Amino acid sequence: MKRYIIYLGCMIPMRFPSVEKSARLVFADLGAEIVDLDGYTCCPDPVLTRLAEDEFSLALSARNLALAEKLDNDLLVLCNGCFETLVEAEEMLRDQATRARINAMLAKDGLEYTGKVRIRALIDVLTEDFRPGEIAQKLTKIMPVKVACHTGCHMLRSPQHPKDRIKILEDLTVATGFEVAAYGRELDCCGFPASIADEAMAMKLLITPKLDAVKRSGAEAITTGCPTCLYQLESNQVAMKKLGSDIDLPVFHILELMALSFGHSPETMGLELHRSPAKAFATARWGVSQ
Amino acid sequence: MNEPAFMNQMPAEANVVSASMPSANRLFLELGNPAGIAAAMGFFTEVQKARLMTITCFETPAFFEMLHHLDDSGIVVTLRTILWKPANAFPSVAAINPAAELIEHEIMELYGIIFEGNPRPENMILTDEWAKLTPLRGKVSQLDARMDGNIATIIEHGSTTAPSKRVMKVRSGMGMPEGPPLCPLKCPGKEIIFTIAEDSGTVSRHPNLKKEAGK
Repeated sequence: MKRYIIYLGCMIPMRFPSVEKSARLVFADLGAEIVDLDGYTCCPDPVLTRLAEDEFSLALSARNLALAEKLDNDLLVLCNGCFETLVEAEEMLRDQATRARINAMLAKDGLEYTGKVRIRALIDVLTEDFRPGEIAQKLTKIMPVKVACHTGCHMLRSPQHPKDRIKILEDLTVATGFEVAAYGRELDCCGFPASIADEAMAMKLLITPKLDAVKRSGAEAITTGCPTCLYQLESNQVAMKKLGSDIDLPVFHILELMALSFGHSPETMGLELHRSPAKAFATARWGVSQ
Repeated sequence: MNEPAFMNQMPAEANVVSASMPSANRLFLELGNPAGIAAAMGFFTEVQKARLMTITCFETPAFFEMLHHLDDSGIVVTLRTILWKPANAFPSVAAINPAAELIEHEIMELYGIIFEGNPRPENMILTDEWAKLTPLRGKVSQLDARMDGNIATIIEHGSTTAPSKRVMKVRSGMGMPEGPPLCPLKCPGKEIIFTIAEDSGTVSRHPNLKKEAGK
């Protein structure tokens, strides 16, 4: 049986428990065991905290990785930002002097980072460890929905070409029974980091052109593998509506779409915490009963 | 990685407090205070005949980080100096290395930092209507409270997002534990995160943190 240590990050358990629930349902359906990483902290976030306090951030990342090492399985990371932070920490901690300095801090918590944990992104695990047939076998409620995919910037910082990275989420979306809507702005940022400094600028230059393109493509919904992008794509639609926009697209994490297509009821997934019409859309398409 | 031999010849006035060499062609030197920059630049310019590549400035809520980047026979040397707020003046090195003049002007005009000793007081880059706006500096100031708040929330809740009653209710309604397996909920000692923040210098750089985060 496949077994993963799950790294939930902050946004998923605190804002989108529907994604956490979906992860638990989907991996159970796929016959994989999920192990919680008890006592973890924020990765920390790759924008504010790492920018302000690099040493503190690196120590917290190393602590998370050291906790995972004790459980001796791959670390499955559900959030793009967390994935980037932890992989970059792993790289920085290859330097022995840095590792020794950080381990001196972790020693007070009885922990030591040795570099043996394998950090893996959700979309990579779902495509590398499970054959498309394994996913197809679990599809009990396939809905003909046209979906726009937003991979998210932090997932693109990889040795792979960005176009190959965005294809992973698109392939996963197709494997889950959906049609992918090409909209031409797949590589554009959701605008979250920029919005911390200037919300109006981020909305005007990044998110509005992206959502306009999605709408023009005929997509009925958006999917992403990143909870922060999900938050940004939803909250900006709310803000844009106040300025007269008529864009009102449901946004789902890919795990939520998988859980729905695997036959789980939208009524029991916590979709009401979304700020886009995700729950109404899911209920209309997938129904309420299981 | 062994440090280059010239490190032994660095003048004491440069006040190098730490050095790291992550690769054979990259050297970072941290200076203890801005006063050391003249001696450090003098050494690299006059003794080492190094070329000044550029100077960059990075603003955080508590300080400016000034980075002088030099090419010393193929080794990229970065002199890192912290200018703690509210101080707003940094020694110019234009008299030692004229190439610094224009770069210091960029930082002066974009961040509003005064480079003491830079030979040209007038703006060279921004037009008159931008003269007093210091455009880059304005953007970071609004982040100050958010950064402090972010770090305080991580220390208190282990997360950048404090738990809300609504989310906890939805979680338990789905048969999930109200609290995720985050520290401090699933952590034997809540104070460990604060201890890491103290050890890494974060607490001393964020004076409001102790009050906000508690211990």
